[in-house]
Amino acid sequence: MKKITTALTLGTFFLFSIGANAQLGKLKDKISGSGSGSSGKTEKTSGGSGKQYKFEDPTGISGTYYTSEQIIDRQNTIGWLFTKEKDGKIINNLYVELGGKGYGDRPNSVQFSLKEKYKTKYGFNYFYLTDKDCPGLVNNNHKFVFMEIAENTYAFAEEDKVICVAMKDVADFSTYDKETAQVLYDQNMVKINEEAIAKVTEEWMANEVYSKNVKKVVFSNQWYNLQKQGYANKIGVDGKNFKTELDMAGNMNFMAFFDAPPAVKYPGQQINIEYEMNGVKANREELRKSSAAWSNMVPILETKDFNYHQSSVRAIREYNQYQSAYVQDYAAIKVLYENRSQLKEGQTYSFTIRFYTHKDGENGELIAEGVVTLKYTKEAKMAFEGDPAKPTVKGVFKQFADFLEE
Amino acid sequence: MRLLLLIFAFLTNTHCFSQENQYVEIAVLNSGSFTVHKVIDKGYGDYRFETATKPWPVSFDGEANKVTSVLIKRAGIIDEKYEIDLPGFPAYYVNATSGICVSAIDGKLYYYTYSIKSGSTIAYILSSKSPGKYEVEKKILDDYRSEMKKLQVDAREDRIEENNAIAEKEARENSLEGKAIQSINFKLVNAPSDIGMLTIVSIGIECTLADGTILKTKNLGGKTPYTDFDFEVKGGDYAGGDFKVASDSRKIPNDKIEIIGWSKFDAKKVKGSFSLKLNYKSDIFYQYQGKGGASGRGMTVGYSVHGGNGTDGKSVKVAANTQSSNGESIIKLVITDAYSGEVLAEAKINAKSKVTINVSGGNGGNGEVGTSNYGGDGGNGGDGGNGGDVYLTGNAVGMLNIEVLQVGGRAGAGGKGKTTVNTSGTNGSSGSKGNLYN
Repeated sequence: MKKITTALTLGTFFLFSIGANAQLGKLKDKISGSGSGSSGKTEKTSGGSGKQYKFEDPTGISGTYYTSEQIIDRQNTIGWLFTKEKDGKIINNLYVELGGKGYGDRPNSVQFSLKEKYKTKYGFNYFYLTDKDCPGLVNNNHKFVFMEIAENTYAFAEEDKVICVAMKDVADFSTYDKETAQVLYDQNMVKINEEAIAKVTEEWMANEVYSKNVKKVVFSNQWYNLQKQGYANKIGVDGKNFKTELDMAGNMNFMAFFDAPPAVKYPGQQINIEYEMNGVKANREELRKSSAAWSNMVPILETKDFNYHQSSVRAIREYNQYQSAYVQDYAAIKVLYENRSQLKEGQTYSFTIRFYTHKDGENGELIAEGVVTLKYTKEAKMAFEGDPAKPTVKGVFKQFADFLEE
Repeated sequence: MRLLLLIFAFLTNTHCFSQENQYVEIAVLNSGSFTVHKVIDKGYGDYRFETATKPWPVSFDGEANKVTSVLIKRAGIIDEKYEIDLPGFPAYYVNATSGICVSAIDGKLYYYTYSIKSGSTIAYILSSKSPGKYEVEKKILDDYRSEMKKLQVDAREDRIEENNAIAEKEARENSLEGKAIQSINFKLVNAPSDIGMLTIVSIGIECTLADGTILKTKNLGGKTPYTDFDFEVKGGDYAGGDFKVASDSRKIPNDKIEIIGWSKFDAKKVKGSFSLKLNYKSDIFYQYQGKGGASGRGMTVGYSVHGGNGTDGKSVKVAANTQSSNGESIIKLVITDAYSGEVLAEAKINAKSKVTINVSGGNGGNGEVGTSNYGGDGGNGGDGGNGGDVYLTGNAVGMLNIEVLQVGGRAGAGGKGKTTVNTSGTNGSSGSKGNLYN
């Protein structure tokens, strides 16, 4: 059951990767020519007809394969020639002749290589594209693979989307249609990806910065102390500059560490962030839905954009060098604003941040939580309440009050 | 022909979408094999349905008019179970692991993902009926989801209230408010072997109540909020169960960290205390580099803005002397401003630990690219600041594992002219490297 549910998770990617496959039709049409000549309907092979290739090798992989759909127009078969060893060296090369007329007098052909690891670990052949001699594939950098889904039966996939099934025995077409091949392909990919995901998690857990802070929100006064720029997919900091106390006059950055990437663990959901201080709470989703002004100020966060074990760096309030101004999360500022009468210069206050999954207006699981001490320094007081020496410059609270007036 | 088009437009734009919840919609369907219409992406936003060769088995679980879950055997191979979203007024069935949703509307079973921003992305329609155009089916589904969301308000509020009541009960049980406290104990979550300046130590709190109940903070596996406690700390800051050792040894009396804590609701102030000696086995660093110059991007009419100059790194003196702490020999560092003599920081480290001093110059800002309507010349790049000088003194200089970063700041690049007749700004000059004296 666990494997099936995992299959579902990863299967989602394959099923709904419409964006990645947006060019599939175009490229396939380019290869098969169905875009201009055919009606776009699936063309089935005509029984046992088609060119017969006299390719063979000791493993039995080589030979003539019938395809469920024509890869090259009017070609119902493709020829495989597998070469395990050449000049005393193991090369595991698969030459696939697609037929038709390619460059000059040469037929269209492509070359693949066997992924030995998958054969050894999972027991199926997985050939990935290494070279092509086919005008229809010019400028196509997509991932093409032939994956064994049954004996002498292969799913031909472009960017993990099965585009046809190739098999030695045409009788097998009734068993292995494209949809069935897709499911079997996905199942095999689950085995491959499960290991990849486990390896990634293991790598993250090996880093103390992550293992000590899983499901926690961490804080700093500079974004680059929390995450190395351009390295959202790995730990690029040593954690020495994580803070437990922040001066409210400066940057108040934070970042969450998750036990798994929310995009994988909570697909199709949103992320809601809740702020709390002295029992006063505010969360982004409630505020976002309360008015147009709040909707503009608080964008929707979706789990699909949280692809790693850590979130992007966010801020209660931080100075943006490019905009030469402070930017702030108004949901967090609301909490500070509602506490404004209690803030005393030199005092400290506990401030809690919680990341929840969210769907249809309801919070789901609490996926990260952190507490930081905020210090209301003399400079912070001036920033939030305004500098008496500069009466024309509004403090944060006045700016926020003006926003609420909207 | 025009009449036909008008009729088609009328039909597609005024179709009546269902407002029935899933109990009603799915009641008209029976378990069995369903014809599968798969969405094929033809590129450029052209999606079409293609009928798969094999039907898929689908079964509905629950009462006939109250189906609570749907089981789809995808391609007859994989079991996929979908559970109801809101029992009070369901709009869809969802697989929590994959996020895929299933909704029955007018006898068709839609298999899709859903995003609050972009609506549904249909992968299959399972039905003996032929699907319409993809856009039409998507609109039917999106309209249904939007309408259902409005109609779900009461049922959803009921569930939110139920969940809130559960959460509040749990919060009350774990809160210290209104509870008599017998004792408070601090516990190290993971006792670190090396603990020095800037180290973060996870310390949990265990609170024994008068009735013998033990409440714990989250880092000890409990649910009592850290914010239920007040603290007095020495040697650093403590928040959220983490103690961050100070970056200046003057703030660490007696070479140890200390916490005294009590419940903020406890009038008797029953206190717990904690202390931990430091061995100063941690790498430390101090940043005294110059600031980067601002980039010129004024978009000012009439001229382009020049990049600002980076400032120089601070020149500092570092006095390193051996000292005894907690029975071990350590190195004490006193870092002072080389010109004003002001003590910037004091630090203590084990001889094997590393100290990094960064006194690099700030980078010059880039000049604005010529964009003005009245003057399209590029702005000049700012100069990089010079690296600061570092003077090492004291009896432990030879033992010190120190890295000094004192490069000059990078020159800002001149902005390009708006057109070929405009001149580009000149590049700034790089700052020079500082000197190290010992």
